[in-house]
Amino acid sequence: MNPTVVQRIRTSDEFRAQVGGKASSVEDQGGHAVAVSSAEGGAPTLTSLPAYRYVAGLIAVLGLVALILIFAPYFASHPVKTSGPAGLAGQAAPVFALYDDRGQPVSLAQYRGRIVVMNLWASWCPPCRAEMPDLQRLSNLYAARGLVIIGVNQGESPQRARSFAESLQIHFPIWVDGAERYGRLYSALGLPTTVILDRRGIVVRGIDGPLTFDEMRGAISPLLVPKQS
Amino acid sequence: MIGLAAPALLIVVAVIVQIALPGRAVYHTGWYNVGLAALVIYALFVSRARFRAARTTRARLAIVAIVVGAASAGVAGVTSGLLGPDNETIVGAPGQRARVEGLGALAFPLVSVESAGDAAVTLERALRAPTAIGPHPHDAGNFILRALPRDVAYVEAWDSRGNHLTVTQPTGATFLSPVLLMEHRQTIAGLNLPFDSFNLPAARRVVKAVLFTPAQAAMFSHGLAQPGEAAVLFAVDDENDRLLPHGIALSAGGRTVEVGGLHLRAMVTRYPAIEVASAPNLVVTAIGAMLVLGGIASFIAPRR
Repeated sequence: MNPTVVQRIRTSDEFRAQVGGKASSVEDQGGHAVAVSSAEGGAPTLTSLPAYRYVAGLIAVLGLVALILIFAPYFASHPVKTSGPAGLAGQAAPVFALYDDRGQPVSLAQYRGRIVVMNLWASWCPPCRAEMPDLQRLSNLYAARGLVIIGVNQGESPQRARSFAESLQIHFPIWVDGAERYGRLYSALGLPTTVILDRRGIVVRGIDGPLTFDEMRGAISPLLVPKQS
Repeated sequence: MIGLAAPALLIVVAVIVQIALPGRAVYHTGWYNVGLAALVIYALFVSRARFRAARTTRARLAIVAIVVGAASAGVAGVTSGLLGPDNETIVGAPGQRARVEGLGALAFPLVSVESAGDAAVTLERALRAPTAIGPHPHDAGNFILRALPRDVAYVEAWDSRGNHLTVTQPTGATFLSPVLLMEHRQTIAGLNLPFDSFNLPAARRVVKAVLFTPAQAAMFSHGLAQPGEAAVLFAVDDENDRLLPHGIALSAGGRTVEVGGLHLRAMVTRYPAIEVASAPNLVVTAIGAMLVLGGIASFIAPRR
């Protein structure tokens, strides 16, 4: 502040009541906003008081934003994703081309509009063998209501997959995933792994380990409710 | 003025270095963080005296800007060093999704062996669009990520009758995967070599696979590997971990070898892993630097 132009100092309230001319400078003293009137004109003036207030406010806001940005990630609750096959629940099922046990190209996309139970299995896996007849029974019961069972062999040859299915009189589609891509996508923890998709192709459940017939039926029953028109 | 500007600038520079050169262990050491915190405290102490001595509002605001900026950057640096996790390299198999605490999920793409080298891992975060992570550092809030291509091996196995066999990795990140991520290391003949293992449940065999770079393969394969070909040494055990007769063989250049009653093939390719380093928040550091520089400029600029 230039002392030559200082004539008198008023509190902010006084200043607001009397201000009317051109301001030359503004000072802050004793915790009060004060105005300085010019020696020449006598009337208190105001240009930089709001500017300083804006700057002070901006500094405060930036400091607050900085604190939030620094600490928020450490205190924010992150949704805990379930590991294993349950982890993809709620997401669209990945679709890619495979071949069935007879060498025909197949894809999950062809089953949109139907409920899909995808069972990952291998012939060397005793629990897989044990639950196959129940899967066939489920397919027989609910095929008319839009249910499709697909057995996705993991890592074996089409011939082995077909002979295994024939030995158990399995009639639902058997696909061959030689590179075990579904096993990786669904983070399979072992075999069998069962994944249930709704009619839109969204993963509803991923289940690790063998299921009984009642467990299978319980898992698909919410999806079998006919759509409300 | 210099008494305040110097520590403030030093803090900002130190934190910018943390961002520009991420992943250094020094940022997590006690002395570094104590030093940074001491600078912040010193700047606060000096600013208090300067603030009282300042005669104009402009000078006081400049001091506040400098100290708020320095404190913001300093706290970001110390928080990253003390609360942020140590550096981590996330290694995933194609198709796998790996969760990173405090960040999101990394989706490792499904790719063929031929195109694995061009694969880009995607960072998935809540309320944000997925982002591909490349070899250049990618800022993700309190983390910096970058892709590090590394050698992996895609293995295939057949029994003696030619039946394709399921490959499992009971001790790996993904149970069902023929992609060996080679995360372990072992010294053989003075060479520190990456290795992995897998099971063939249908054949009741356990196979160890040791990876040789093309240069190493050329030195030790006795002509089995052509120049420029990486190779994988297979050692086949039975389910009781006993090495089988004729249970060791080298597969080079993706060729199939007969070993321990099996036919095995390994194709070596490059696939990205993701290095995750905690770093001071970039936005906070930018705000801090802006305030410090703005405050200093306000002192330097001539008064109207």
